[in-house]
Amino acid sequence: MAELPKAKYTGKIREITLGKPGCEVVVGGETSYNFYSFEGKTPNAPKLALQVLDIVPEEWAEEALAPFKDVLNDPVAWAKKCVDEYKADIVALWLAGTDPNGKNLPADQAAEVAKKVAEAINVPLIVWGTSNDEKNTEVLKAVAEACAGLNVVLGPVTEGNYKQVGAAAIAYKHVVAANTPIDINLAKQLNILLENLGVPNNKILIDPTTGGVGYGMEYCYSIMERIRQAALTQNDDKLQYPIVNNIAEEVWKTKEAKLPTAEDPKLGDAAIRGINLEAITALSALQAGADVLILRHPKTLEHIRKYLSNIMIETNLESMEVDLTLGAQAAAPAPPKAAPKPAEKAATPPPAAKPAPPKKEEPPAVKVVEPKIEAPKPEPKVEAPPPKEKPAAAAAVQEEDIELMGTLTKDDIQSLKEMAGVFRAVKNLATGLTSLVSGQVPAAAPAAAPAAPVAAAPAVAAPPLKKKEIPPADWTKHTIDPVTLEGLKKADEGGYSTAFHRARVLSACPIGKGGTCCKICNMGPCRVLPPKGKTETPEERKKRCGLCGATPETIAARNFARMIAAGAAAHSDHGRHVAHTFLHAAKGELPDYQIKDIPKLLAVAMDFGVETDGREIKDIAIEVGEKALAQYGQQDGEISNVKRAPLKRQEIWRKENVIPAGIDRPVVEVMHMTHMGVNQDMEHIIRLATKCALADGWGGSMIATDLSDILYGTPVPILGKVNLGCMKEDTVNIIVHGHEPSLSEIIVQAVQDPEMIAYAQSKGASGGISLGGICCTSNEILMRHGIPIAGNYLQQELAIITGALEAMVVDVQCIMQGVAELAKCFHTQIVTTSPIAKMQGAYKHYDFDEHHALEIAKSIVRDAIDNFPNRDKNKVSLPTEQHDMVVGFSHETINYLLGGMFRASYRPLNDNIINGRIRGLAGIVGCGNARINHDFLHVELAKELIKKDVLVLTTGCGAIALGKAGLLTPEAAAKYAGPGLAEVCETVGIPPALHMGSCVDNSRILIAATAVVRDGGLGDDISEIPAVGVAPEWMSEKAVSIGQYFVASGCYVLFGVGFPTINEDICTNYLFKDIEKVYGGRWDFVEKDPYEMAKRCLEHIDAKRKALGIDKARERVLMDMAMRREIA
Amino acid sequence: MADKFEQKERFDGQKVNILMPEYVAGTDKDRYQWRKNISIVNIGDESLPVKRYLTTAERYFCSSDWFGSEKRKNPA
Repeated sequence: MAELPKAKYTGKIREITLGKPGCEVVVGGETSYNFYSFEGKTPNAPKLALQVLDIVPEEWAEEALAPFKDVLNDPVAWAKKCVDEYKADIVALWLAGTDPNGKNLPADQAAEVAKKVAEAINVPLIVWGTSNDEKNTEVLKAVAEACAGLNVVLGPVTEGNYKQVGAAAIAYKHVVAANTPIDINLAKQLNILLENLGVPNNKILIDPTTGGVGYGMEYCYSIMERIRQAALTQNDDKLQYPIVNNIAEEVWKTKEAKLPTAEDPKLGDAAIRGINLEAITALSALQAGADVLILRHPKTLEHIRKYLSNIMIETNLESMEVDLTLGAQAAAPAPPKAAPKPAEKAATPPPAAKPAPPKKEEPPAVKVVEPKIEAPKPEPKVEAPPPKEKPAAAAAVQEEDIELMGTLTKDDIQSLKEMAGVFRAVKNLATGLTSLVSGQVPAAAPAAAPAAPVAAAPAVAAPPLKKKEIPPADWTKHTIDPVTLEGLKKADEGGYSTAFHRARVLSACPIGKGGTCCKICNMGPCRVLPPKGKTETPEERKKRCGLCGATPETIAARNFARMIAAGAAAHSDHGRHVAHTFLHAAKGELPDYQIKDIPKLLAVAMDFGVETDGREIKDIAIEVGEKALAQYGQQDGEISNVKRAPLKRQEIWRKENVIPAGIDRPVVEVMHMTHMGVNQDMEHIIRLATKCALADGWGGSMIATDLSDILYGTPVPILGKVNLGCMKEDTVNIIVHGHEPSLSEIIVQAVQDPEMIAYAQSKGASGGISLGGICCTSNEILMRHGIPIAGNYLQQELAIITGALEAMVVDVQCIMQGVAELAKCFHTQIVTTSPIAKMQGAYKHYDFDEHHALEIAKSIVRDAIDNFPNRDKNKVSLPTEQHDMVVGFSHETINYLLGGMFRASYRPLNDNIINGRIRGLAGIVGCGNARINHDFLHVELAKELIKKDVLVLTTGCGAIALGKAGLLTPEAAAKYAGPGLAEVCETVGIPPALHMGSCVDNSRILIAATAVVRDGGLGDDISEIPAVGVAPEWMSEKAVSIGQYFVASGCYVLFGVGFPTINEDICTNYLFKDIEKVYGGRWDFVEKDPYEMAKRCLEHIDAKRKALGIDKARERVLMDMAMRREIA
Repeated sequence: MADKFEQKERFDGQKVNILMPEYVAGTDKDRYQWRKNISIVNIGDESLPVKRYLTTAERYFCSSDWFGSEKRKNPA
């Protein structure tokens, strides 16, 4: 007889006894996922608790109050009613009266109530505190003492109070409910802490935090599921505890559960709405692994009880109507030609040794495994059951299905089994719900009866998407920016989800993060993680490979290369777009764009080999535009800009054969060579990826920067403002977000149009129009026009949450899809403009065409103005905080500042590096990352380096972070810089951190570094100057490309947060060590310690200074002629 | 703008009022667009001021001569 493969579980959930002697209830003990009785045992059915309050509830829904109206004043009577009348397995006493924000009842009074309730009932008691850790500690300690020996459950026990409450639980022999905010790692950590404290492992329950359906249940479900997977299949004994879910509180506080019918009839009948929501949330929790459910409404309890009666039946495969012959075919696949036809397979009777599966008309074979659970009873059905005879079409479909199923693998069948379990549960739920709903319809309104299920359905099936409840967080650990902090608190109050919230519940995949997951072909994904906690032998290492035999280092290098290709493509396509606009503007086809910087045009023309003498500017510009665009498709030779690099660097690149012929080709080559079965040599993969990165840094990015400067103006220093305070209450607020300057430049013109300002005022915006920027677009328009920056990457959602943003105009890169959904909660219009970047849920898409740039820009602005009257003043809360900053330090400007118009030079900089006033240079660049404390690494690292006399060059969202921290003003030098750097900054009048632009403008840093080399005295190459590059909070693939072109240019590059190959040692060692022998630069990684980052940067800088012989101050010697002759 | 003072202790212990630094906040209108001067500054040959500027000030990239570390008999 064929047998379907079954999952093997290595772990078991601990059995925990709750309740006082004589009234004990046991929970847990599962040896498989909940209700998978065909694979393991669920010896103890989940237990259902009803909630009781120590005070009269003030905000409960009428429907929830009704069953207890006569006992609301007496917790003891209430608890007894729960047990005697409604048959609760457990009573959960919620000490809501102790809430410091409410009645703030004293701990001893609460303990007295708890004791009385515990003694009065003959079931276990759960005592639940409030969300205030401090008060809970006091209250639960008193309860523990008062209820000594009654074995109650104390909760919530959190990281903040586990020591005190845990100690009380140990002393008085109680159980603790370990509460964590929907995070498996935190759950495990708290269990370990409790165990280390001495709480016995038969006294712990896990409370993973529960979200109601429509309010984060899916997060909760996922975490519970993972806890159970770890406990049962990975035998993680720190997670082998029963799970308790406080369903009652989470469901009944939602609007959908509480709102009376009259206030929103389309939500359905309030009499059943809340019960349905509670029931479905409870069911979901049960499926995910719950052992104890705290419920509020007796009807919910009744319904879930019926459900448990049905599901707690030992299921065998026959009763699930699974055709076991399919398993035999899947387990022993025969050649397709020899295999019997599917119809024959289905017709083949199973071997005689076992009885044939029962026919569908027969009742399933069932065995009741728990005497306490009543045997299933056929549920009355409201509607006529579907006909059992299958129509011809359905039969044909079934045959088709069977044919398909003939090719199933063991894994597929396992998945099917899991689905069968879920379908069965859902079927039971549907039956139960139907009966419940029909039972709820008042007899006095028979006409409404048939409509009731339909009316109730939307409230349950389609909860509003706009709000997701996230457990409270201490946001001071997630950002150092006070404006962001305020925004996050507002998000909490409104129930809005941001990247910060999602980061708390969605962990990064540890396998994908470290580069050891290969998903480039359909035989995978193949995970090639190294074994944990032990050293691998060479033989074991050899065996660790993908299905095709790809080694871990090949896989890691391929993933790394693909990130570089994506980043290079993004920057370079940006550059292509600028070049395209530039060419058409040069030809005079774009009336809204003009050449603004002729000196730079001529400089770029010289680099491209364009003749300038005696020619019209227009002709030169056209040829420059054509040459720039030709760089993209060039197939032979070298891209022009490599000629700008130091000679020694060019020689290294030529020797290594990494100079790209064109910009596009290396990107395509990387995508090709990382296709399955092409390049399988780690070092060679990195070599080609390096070529791709150089095509970005010295190609696409440099073209983007140069042509933007010519078209929109080379930045010169300007005073700007930063942070969300740039939005005003009396103005129409528009934010441009993204990277390409072609539209934002024209929007700057549009918002300054008097006609537009008057139109805004006519709509009630007395202050006119405020324009701000987010991300790199903001850097572009700030540097050139002084338009304030609203925030960096992680603040894009917070701009919407101010409630005062009329439009967010986006183009490409770093735009979170979350903004579209969030904008629906406000009046904000999300306007997409790039032909390659649309967004579901956006307000409108404009296909931006430079030929009609101003016209389109005005349409966008007009839409935003028309949207101003839709602003809900009750939702507006605008921060006022802004910081000054001086920005716009292009290479040209640094050169000018250091010597003036006639003596422009890097000499003063080099001299000050040589004499030690400036210890070295550091580029602090990159994104923001919600996995770490927002802005913290950027700011602390910059402060540390400035303090040690390192001049900081900064771009992108890192620059915005430094601006918000006040580091981009000349005054910051006196406050933060070491004495040497402060002296230089004061003399020249510059900040200690120089803002150099957006992320494509990292090419400005390459040019500045080259100028330092060319000026002399600091070696022949970029690799010899005391300089480092750091991306402490990086997140995008562009950052990897930037890092690699800096490494290939000879720089030491340090990343924070994570490194793309970190799980693979050979590839990582090559990038961190061996690559330095080739290019003179290398990678490094520090997770999230800015002081360690600074230490490593300084070590590198000092090593370079030592190699140059400038590590010690030398005595100046006045040489006479004899000494000079001696040298010669 | 009113003067701001800070009281400090002199070497002999006497309290003195020290005039604090002051400045007027700049605006975008005060921005010094130095690059506009390139075309009007007379550097050498009047007919080609921009090119002159590039080959001198931007000599690291725009001059045919090699400068600094790369100005050597045996190029790297």
